[in-house]
Amino acid sequence: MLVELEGLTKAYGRKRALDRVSASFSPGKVVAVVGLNGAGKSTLLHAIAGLLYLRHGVVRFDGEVVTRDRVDLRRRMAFLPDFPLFFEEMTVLEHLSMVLRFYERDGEGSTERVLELLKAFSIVGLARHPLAALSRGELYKAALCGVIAAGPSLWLLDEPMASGMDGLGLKAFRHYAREAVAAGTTILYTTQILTVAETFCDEVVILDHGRLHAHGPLEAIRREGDLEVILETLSEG
Amino acid sequence: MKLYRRDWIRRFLAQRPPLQRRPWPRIPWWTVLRPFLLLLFAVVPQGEVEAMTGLLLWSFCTFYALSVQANHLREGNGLWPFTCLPASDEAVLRYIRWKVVWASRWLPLEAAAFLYAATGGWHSVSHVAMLLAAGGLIWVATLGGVLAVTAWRSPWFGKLATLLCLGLIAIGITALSQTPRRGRLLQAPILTPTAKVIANTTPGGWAVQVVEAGMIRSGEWKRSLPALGLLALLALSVAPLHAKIRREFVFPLIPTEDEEEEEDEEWGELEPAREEEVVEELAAPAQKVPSGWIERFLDARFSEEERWLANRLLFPQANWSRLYRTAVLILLALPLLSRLAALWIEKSGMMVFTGGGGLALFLIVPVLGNVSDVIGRQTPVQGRAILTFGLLPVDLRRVLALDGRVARWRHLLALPWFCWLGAWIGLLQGASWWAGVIPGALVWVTILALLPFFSIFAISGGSRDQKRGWVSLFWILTLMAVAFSGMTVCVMALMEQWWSLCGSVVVWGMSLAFREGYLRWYERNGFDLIG
Repeated sequence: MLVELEGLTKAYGRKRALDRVSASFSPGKVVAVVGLNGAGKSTLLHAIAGLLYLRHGVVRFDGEVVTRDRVDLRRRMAFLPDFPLFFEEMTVLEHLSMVLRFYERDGEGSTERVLELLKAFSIVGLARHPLAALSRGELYKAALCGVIAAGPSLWLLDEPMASGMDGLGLKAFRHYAREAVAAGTTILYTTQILTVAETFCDEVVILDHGRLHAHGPLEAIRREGDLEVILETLSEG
Repeated sequence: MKLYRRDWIRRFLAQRPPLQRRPWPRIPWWTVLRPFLLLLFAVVPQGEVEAMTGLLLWSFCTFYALSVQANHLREGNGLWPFTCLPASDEAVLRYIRWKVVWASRWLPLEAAAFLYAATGGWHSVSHVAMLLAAGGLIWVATLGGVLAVTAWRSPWFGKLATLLCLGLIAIGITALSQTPRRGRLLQAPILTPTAKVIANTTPGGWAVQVVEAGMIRSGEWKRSLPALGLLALLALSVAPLHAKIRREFVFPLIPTEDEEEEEDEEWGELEPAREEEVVEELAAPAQKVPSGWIERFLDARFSEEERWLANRLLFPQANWSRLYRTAVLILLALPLLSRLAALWIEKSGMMVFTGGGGLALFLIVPVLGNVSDVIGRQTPVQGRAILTFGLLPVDLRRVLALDGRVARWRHLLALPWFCWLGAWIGLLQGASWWAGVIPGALVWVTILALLPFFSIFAISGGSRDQKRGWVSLFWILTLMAVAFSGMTVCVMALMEQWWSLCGSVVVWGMSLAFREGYLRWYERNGFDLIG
């Protein structure tokens, strides 16, 4: 799915969290969004997910403008905040079955798929536990299982590498992310861990004070210098 | 090593709350509206309708402000930082108390201004003093109630304090209703019966009535002491209510030892699921079977798809079968208990209430508890759920439509309850039971008409639509004012009750239209769902 951003502008009072951000992301790419604290990384994901009132700008999926009433378009993406939101009284299985139903993926083969994911993320034993009883890492794993099982064309993940998941969970995440990307899915994720960004992405977006500082393939960005050096320069500037 | 440094805590608590240090604090709309309403009371000569509209709006704003404070404590925003600090529970409680005192600092003045308007203005120095004293009394009683709940971890002390505070409130209301100079507001047809109902249904009110009855009848206050003792016992029986308030609003983060044990047991019971169980449940999800016949009847009103959505996304239903069983048992037991009470009152020489009224009132406490449970379950989709809905590809209109249908069915089932309660209140007022049924039905219709409004407030509270600032504020206030005025005119002012019922339908239409407009705004990404 082609994702296009056109002049996204979001202000909180006088502060512009996003300032005329325009970019497009082609299918089958992993895009790391990096920047200093307060650069607008999470806000960018929120804006793409249609969770914000934007002062200016539009988001398009395959040329169609995204708004909350376009359930069909929202069904083609999934957003996972750094602290996932749940109906806490549900169990892991109830949550997964709800997600599958909303994404219309609860047909043939869904049971096997869910079981496979629960095993890969080592949370089979927690399947009947209420979400309120899980730790942060376990919650993120449960939420991630939902996203992967639903199989949308666009994944928006806020700080998945700092979500409290253990090594096994991170490994499983990378595996399924690569599998999905190979099938044409676009993944946008934010991270503060630059070594992760340098090893797990095809493209990099660098935000600075809400503005798009750079966007391009990792190799092209690296020609300007290491990500760490670029961010240090931004912080001094 | 001693972690609790008393002087450090004292210095910390001596600081002003953070809100006061902000250069431009956000002014909530209810704060703007309250002084405006009081000014209206004081300046504009009022008729009954205007007075009642103003009273309703003022009460609404005040209760909303109080609920915001309560929610602030309930969500633990003010408490979480302390869990990471070496502060003792006592210091945390002091912090809470300080916040409550600070938050209610304008209440005495506001109450005095309200009473000024209610009693028709200043008449003499003594009258001013009386108003200020009454305002102070209301403040002390309200504050005392909150502080008592936060001060003692033992529920017994909390209950006694609650009794005292309710008594003070009842004394205040009684004194006001007996004042020779009563403004239009106090003469309004609804306030006097309301004061009577408060005096009749709160433990403090009972205490006042017993003292009054004892002193007037025999002139010997000592004869009232046994009755006071009995009433104190009755008040203590309101334990579940107090425990609920304490658990839900004040101490969610500081559980008592008993609660800690319960919670440990709850989590300890969770067994790891086996693979085959997971497959089984995924293949055939467990259906929630309704427990009683009323629940089964309600369940049958929905399609399989709707039932699936309702079971997962909407709040659980009240146990109607149990509620009605309780009501029937009480009704059956009432004649016998009333007779016993009458005999006891006759022998002890006290005439407090008519016949078995005292015991009937005692019985009504658990009934009121059940009713509050019923009304609580009527709450539409909660605000917190809106953010989760925002993340899922689900049509909020579809969810709200289903929510509305469920709420209407639940509300329909509550109709006999409202009529029954109305009949009771009618009997307590010395009128016929039928005289109470119609107002009970009116209250029912009014709540029904306001349900869409409530759902918007729930969404508005859980999402971030306040970011639109004054535009949304103006819009909401205008619509609220129109709706409430309409409701007041239709429901309260028109003497023909059947016309009032019809008028409520108009309010319902407005309420639905308001919700529709709001949802359109939602769908156009009109406000933030996440910060």
